[in-house]
Amino acid sequence: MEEKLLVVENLTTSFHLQNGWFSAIEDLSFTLSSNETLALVGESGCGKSVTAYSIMNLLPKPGSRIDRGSVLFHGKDLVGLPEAEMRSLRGSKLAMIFQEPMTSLNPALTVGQQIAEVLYYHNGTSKKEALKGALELLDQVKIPAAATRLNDYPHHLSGGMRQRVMIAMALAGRPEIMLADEPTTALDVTIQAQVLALLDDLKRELKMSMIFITHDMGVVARVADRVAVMYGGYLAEVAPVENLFANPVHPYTEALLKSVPRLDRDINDLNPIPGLVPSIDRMPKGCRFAERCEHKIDVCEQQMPDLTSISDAGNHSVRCWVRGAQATSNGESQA
Amino acid sequence: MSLFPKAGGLRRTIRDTIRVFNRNKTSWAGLVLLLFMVSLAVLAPWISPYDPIDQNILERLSPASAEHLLGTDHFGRDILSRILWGARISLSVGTISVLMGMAVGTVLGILAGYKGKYWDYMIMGVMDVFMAIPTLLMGLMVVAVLGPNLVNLTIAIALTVAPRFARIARAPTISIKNRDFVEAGRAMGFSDLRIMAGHIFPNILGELIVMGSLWIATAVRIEASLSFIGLGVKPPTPTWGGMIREGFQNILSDPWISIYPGIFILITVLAFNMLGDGLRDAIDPKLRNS
Repeated sequence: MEEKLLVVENLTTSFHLQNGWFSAIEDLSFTLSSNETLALVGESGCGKSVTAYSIMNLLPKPGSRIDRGSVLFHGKDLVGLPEAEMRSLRGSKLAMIFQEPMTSLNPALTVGQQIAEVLYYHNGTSKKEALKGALELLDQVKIPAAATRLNDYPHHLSGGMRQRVMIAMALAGRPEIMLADEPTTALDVTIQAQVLALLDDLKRELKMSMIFITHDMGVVARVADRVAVMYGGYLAEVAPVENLFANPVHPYTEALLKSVPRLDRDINDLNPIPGLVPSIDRMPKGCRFAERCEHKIDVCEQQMPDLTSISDAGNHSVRCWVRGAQATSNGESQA
Repeated sequence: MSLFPKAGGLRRTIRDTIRVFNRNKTSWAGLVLLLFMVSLAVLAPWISPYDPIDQNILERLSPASAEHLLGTDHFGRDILSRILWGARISLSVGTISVLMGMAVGTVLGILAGYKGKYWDYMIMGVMDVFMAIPTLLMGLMVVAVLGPNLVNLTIAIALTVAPRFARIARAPTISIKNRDFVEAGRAMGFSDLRIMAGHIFPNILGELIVMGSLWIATAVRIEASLSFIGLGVKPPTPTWGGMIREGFQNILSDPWISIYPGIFILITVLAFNMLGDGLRDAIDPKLRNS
C-alpha cells in the first residue's frame, strides 16, 4: 500500500453560536496520498472550508475548536501542535490558496516583496536571493514579463494574475500539500481554465498533493483523482473520480451531478436540489440529507448511517441507508 | 476601503499624494514657510548677527534699529539672534517629540487593535487615562517630576502625543486585520509580529504621517507654553516660549521682546497646519479620485 501523506481521522470541529457549541464538521475521516488530488465537494455551508482551516489550524479563536480527531501529516498529529511548530509548517510544507485573489494580496506591498517575504521567512535566504527566487516563481506560474511584474502592486494586476501570484507565494515554501479553497470561483470561466491547467501542471511538476475545495462538478472532473462529497459536515461519499461520475451512489451526489447546467440542454431542464443545507445548530437527528432526499425511508430520520465501503477495491464508500445497502447487496462495484 | 487610501500601494500613493498636494496652493505655502523656518534654524550659526547669549547691558531694551534688526531684550541680547537659535530648539523639540510619541503610540495602537481582548482593554485604558489629562498639565507633571530640561521636555510632549497616535493606529488595524490578505499571511506561516509590522503598518503609514505633521504644530506650541511658564529649557538657552516669558517683565514699555518670538511661533504653527491640511486632503481618497 502506498504511503499516506495526510490521514484525517474522526475530525470534529465546533463553532460557538449564541446557544452553545455546534459541530460544523463531524467525524470526518479521509486520507491523501502523495501526488494525489482530492476534491472536497459540496454546496455552501457543508463544511468544506472548515475542513481546510482545521487542517491548517487556522480556525478563528475564540469561537471555534477541534473537539476530537487527529490530522496526521507524515504520521505527526497536527491537532494540538504548538503554534510555533505549526507556523513553520504553514507556508512551507502546507500551503493554502484562497477564493478571493482580489483581496488576498497586501495592497501596500509589491508582488515581488510579497513572494520574496515567504522565501526568506521560511528558507532563510537573503533578501536579494529571495527576490531572484520570486522572479523564478513568477516565471513558474507563467506570468508574462515576470521581471517587470516584480515591482507591480496588486492593483496593477487582473484577478487571474493575482491568483497566479497567490499560487507563486504558496509554492515558495515548496509545499507537499496544497490546500486550494475554491481558487477559481471568483474568476472568469476562461481564466478558470487557465488557472486549473496551471495548478495541474505544477502539481505534476513539483510532485505535490492537493486538496481542492470546490462546489463545481466540472472543476472536479478536471482536476481530481478522488472525490469526497460532503454534506452537513459529514462525508456522504468518497470515490475515485471516474467511479463517482459513472456511478454516483449517494442521492446527494446524484442530485449534485444532475444539477450541473449543461450547454446541450434547455435552461428549464436545470435540476436544482430543493431546500438548503440546514444550519449547524438545526441539524436533524438522522441522516442530514434526509429532508431533501427523494429516496428516504423511516430509518433515515432516526439514525445517521455509517460510511460503508461498497466496492471490492475498498475505495468507494458511501453513507446512506438506502443506497449503501442496495449497492452492497447487488455486489455492485465498478472499481 | 475608503479608510485605506493606501490601497494603491505605497509608490502610487506617493505619486497621487503629490498630485493632489499640487492642487492645493495653501499646502505649498505651508511647505515653503516651513522650509524657510528650517533653513533659518540650520543656518543660525552663520546668519545670526550676534551671539544669542552675549549680554550687552549698555544696549538693553533698545528698539529695532540697524544694529539690532529686532531690538534687544532686558539683558541687551540681540532678539533676532535669539530667535534664530531658538528655532533650532523649538523645531527639533517639536519634531523629535512627535516622532517619539508616534513610534510609541503606533506600536501600542497596532498591538491593541491586532491582539484585541485584554491587550486592547489594557493598552487603550492606559491611553485614555493619558488622554484625559490636559496636554499642558501632563507636561507640567512630567517636567515637575523629572526636572526642567530639554530631554524631559521632549519626553513630556511625546507622552501627550503618544495616545493620539495609538488611537489613530488602532482603528484601521482592527478593520485591516479582518481582511483576506492578513488571513493569507497567516496561512503563509507568518508570525503575528511580522503581520503587524510588515503587513498592517505599511497600510496605515499615510494617515500617521498626516497626523504627525499636524501634531508637530501642537508640539511647538506646547514647548512654547511650557517654556513660558518656566518649565522648559533653562536660561540662558534661547527658546521661543522662554523669550516670550522673559519679555513679560517689560511687556508694557517694550512689548516687541515678546511679540517677535510670538510671530515666529505663529508662522511655524501655521506652516505645519497648512502642510498637514494639504497632506490630509491629498491622502483622502474621496478628494484624490475627484
